[in-house]
Amino acid sequence: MTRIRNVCFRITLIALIISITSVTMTGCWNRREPVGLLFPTLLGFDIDETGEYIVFAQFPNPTVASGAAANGGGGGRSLSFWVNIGRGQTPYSALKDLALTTSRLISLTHVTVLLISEKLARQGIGPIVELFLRNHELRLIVRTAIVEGSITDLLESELPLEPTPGLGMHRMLEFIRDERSQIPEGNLLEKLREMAEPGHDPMFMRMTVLPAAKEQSFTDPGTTQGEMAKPIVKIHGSAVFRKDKMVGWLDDHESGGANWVLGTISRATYVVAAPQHDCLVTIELLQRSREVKPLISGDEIGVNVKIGAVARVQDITGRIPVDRDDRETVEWLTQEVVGHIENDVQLALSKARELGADVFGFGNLIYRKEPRVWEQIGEDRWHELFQTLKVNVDVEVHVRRPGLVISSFTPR
Amino acid sequence: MLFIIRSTVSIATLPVLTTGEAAQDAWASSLLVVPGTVLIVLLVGGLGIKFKEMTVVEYSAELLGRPLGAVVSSLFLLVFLHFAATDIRVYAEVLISGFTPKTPIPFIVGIVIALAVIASQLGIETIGRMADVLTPLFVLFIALGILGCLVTFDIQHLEPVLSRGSMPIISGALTPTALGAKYLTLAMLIPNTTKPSKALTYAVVSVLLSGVVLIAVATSTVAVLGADLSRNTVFPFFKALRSVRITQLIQRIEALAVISWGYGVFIDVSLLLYSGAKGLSQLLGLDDYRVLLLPLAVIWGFYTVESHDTLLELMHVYRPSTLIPFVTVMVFVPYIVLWIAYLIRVRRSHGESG
Repeated sequence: MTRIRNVCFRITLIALIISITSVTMTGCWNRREPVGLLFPTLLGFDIDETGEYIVFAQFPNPTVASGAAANGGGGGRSLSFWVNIGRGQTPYSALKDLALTTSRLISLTHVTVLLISEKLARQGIGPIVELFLRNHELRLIVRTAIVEGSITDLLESELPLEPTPGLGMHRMLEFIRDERSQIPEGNLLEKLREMAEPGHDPMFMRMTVLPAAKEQSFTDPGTTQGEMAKPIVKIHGSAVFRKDKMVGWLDDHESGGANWVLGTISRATYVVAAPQHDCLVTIELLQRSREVKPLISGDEIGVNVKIGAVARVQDITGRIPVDRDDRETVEWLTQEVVGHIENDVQLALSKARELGADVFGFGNLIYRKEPRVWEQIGEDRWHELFQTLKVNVDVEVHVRRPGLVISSFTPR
Repeated sequence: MLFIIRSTVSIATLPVLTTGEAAQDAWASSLLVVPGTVLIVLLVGGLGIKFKEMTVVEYSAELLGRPLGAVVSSLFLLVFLHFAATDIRVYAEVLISGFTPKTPIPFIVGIVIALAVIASQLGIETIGRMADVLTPLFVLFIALGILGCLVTFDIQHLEPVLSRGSMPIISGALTPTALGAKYLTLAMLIPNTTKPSKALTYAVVSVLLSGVVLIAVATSTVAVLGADLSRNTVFPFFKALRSVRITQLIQRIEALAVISWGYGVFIDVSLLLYSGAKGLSQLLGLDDYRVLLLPLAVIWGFYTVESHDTLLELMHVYRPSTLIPFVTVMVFVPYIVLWIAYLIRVRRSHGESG
């Protein structure tokens, strides 16, 4: 009997504590109903000539997104999202400016995309970083891109197939890396870590606004609504930073070259010319390994980069037998692909040197692996040394698969 | 119980990272904390098991005489109050900084203290049993948090390893070791244990286990945030978990840290409140400590709310320059005096018997 009483007492006590903690510890002091909240999924930051920050917030429209009022009651079309613009002397005051023209309380807890204009990026993203680090709603897992072109045009147009462009762009930034590895990895946390590391300059994703964005703007009465929508944005290449300031762009090849060295290529495509067969061969590559080692010999400092990849043939515009007995063709293809990768790495290296930014993190490698050498060099002198750093690149490619056929299709 | 109150320190402000220069070598500082804390346990518990039937308040009076014993005991009671107040306040600050900015501090403080009063009213056994119930959940949530960190775990952030000599590592170990002074509660617990002679062994085991938690939490935090961001963050483990996105569905796992932290604070404050009330009742010669719980709770509540104006001021409490003099004067020196008194007494009794 006493045992049953003890068990009952214990259960009651646990239930009491769980009830008290769940009632008192899980919510806010005041009432914040979801109906009264607005959750932007995308934030964009720009700066004007007077140094005032401009923030663009894209809010999904819950009533339209749920399909309740998809086409409006009066025949007019309701958009599934809304963009509001705020201004302020600081990024946070610009965000607060949004409240003056918004009917619900803005909660930043669901922001998944951060866009920064080229102008602001060149001036320095330090204030935006500060905001993201200090604010209790914003998180560092946001996908971040630097926008080439007008953010206004981009956000005021519809992304094909995506009811909420913010979520669509998040998907784009996330999945495009699997498809085309020319763009750098990256949520904001990874970029901040790179910025904070000695001897490493970050690359951000580069997002170019296409002319169709202006043509398809929903604020313009003469838009192409009802017609087939065109792409409004392209994600390609990288924006290179030195400290918190953008110093230049990398194109697809340069950015791809940097990613080979960083080991972040998941899938890359190269078109190889075969003049002897008068055709082109498309090769898809998957990065399998990457090893970067410092090379210290006396006063000379260098870096050895080893890149490993496997390749498969995706298409051939003419007739080449990729046969198991035809080792010569496979050997030739391998050499061609190795040449392409080496070329991209060299392009990336020259551009990085031109911009004075160590996007490969070679300096960080020496700081981590050879701290005494790093101390002798000195953090301030690294970028000077980077200009003449000896970089040996060794690429190993295995053309493993010809696709699902062996020889090219021969019509008779 | 001792494990949970010790580990709560690790997941709270992670002083091994935030108070020194350990940076990427925080794991090494954590390793250093373990022997330091074991020494504190031996200092406190070693004397405790010589007086198995007495709390520190009773044997202070016995060793030093009533007036001096009362002075020493009062210092210990103030230590209980101080640790409880800072622990509750830090917990309230993380809730307000990270989740509910408009919630008044007295509300959170009041709830935590009310729960602690209920637990203390029911007695030390109840607090111990609650710790038994909550410890598996506490460990599970922290383990899940650390597992979540593996998604963004980058071992490169732990390099260069031990490259800056021993001073940064020692600087990181100072505050967490000094926080080991919380083992002062052991001096109030020993008479209540079923096997007082084994209390010391269990306390040392709790130090080792909490050392494992501290090393795991410090390492995963640095591997996620990087050395620089980690040491510049107010609540590093919380920030690291907030910056992890496992899948679109599984994210915001910082809740795991906050829940386990809440469990830890509950056990921690209950034990400190019990120890404070019990000690004061013995000092005042009262039969039962329970009559003191409510008045003490009110005083502790006010102290928690009023003792620090800002979060920065609160963080200052954890600076080695503040904490080490505090625990030296309030815990180490009195205990050394008690040990000297005990050794003189043992020598005298040997002399008399010899």
